[in-house]
Amino acid sequence: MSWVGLIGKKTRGRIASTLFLFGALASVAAHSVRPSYWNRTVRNVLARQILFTGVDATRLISLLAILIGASVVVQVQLWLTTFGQSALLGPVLVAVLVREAGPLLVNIAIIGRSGTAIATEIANMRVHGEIDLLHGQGIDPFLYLIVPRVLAAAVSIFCLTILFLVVSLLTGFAVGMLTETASGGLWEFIRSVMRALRPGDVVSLFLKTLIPGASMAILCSLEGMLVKGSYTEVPQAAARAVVKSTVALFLISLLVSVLTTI
Amino acid sequence: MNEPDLLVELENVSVPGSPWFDVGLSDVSFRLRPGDWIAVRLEPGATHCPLADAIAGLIPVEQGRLRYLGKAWEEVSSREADRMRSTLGRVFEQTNWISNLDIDENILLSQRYHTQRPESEIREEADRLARNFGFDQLPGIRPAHLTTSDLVRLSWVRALLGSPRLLLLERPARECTPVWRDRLMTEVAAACARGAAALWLTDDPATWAGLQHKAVLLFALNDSTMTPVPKP
Repeated sequence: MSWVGLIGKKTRGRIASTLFLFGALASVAAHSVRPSYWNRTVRNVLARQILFTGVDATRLISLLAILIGASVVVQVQLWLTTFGQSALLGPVLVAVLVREAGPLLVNIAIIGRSGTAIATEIANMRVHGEIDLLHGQGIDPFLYLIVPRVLAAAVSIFCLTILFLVVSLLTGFAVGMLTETASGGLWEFIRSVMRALRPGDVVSLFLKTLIPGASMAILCSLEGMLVKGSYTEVPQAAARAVVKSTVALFLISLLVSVLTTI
Repeated sequence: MNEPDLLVELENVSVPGSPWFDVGLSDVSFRLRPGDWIAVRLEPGATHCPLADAIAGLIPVEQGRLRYLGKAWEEVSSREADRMRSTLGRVFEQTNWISNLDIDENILLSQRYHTQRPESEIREEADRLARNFGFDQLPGIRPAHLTTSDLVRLSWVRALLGSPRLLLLERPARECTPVWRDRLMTEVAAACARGAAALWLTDDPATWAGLQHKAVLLFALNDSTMTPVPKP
């Protein structure tokens, strides 16, 4: 095959994968809005996944937020004060943390923590024949395993990002006060951030948490499902899931940034 | 022609042997009505046959006609197929448990998924069945922490839970003592008396001897062909 043909084949493959991802997301959305699908076992899986992906990750995300708050927020305060641009504190923090760094960091942390777990769990179920066991009992694996995980991941990442933003901003302010790099009081700091928030920033926050979160769970679940039946495929599936989820995250973030900035 | 009370109908069904199965099916025909109990003797070393999977609509038949509850699997939607499978009680030849669910969650899963029955009612029925098979109540631990014999008897609890219309029992009495095997036969006979049908596959001579007196129809599966065996 010529190199042009090779590029064309790769491109077609990528387009097909992207369409498949959107198709799977649309299918999850279609399943989600039908109450008859939400039987007690599916609700139970949703609750458990929110516990694993959301609640259990609060300490990790809080720690990340404290470290980022103590470094980034203080740096921003210091340099803006140095150059006499304290009025720009809110807009800069919103641009750096709310629009970009917050959603990205939380998504990356959850891909590493829960994405690998989802891919590995489903791949192991596949290898052990447990997916066939579900089929044999008339239990739809897509509805029972994938739909609740996708919704739980999306909701968890959104909530964790809010937690991340609150903790990092408050830590940044507290460290700034301790190191005397912050000017003004807490309310002034909060007001400057809130004043800088535009509707586009809020939309961006929603899109950059819900869509990558759902995409991560779909990609990780599907990579797990695609395992044929060998144990050696399990770590390979987990690695592929992480790479694809990370690439999808950056592409979605870029797209949303462009769309909400125009 | 469809009979209204026919549960399973196989007419000249053939399923090729594949890497997944030890043996295929060739021109298999039989019918099951409520109360019927079929026993199939398997050849030693050819214990994984596609019969139960084909009846449950999990694998396609190559030729012939297979209907469950009057419907062909390929004619129903996936949701309808899932609903039809919820009326099956099955002991699987291979994987029987979801490893990251506790045993009680495994056993209650299908009833909780498919029905609106109150949790307490399902658990009460499962506990009663578990007591029949030597347990005080349903164990609330992972399958990996139980012995093979315990897991076999617990798979019977799951198969019988919720009054299934058809029992598909793939060598259900392996790895258990004759006492428990006889107890299972009693429970299956009771289920058939209540209107279920049963298909019991075995390669064990002692189990076959017991089934010859209990089951209504006897077959032997040799080299993909199912031949009727006269009752003693």
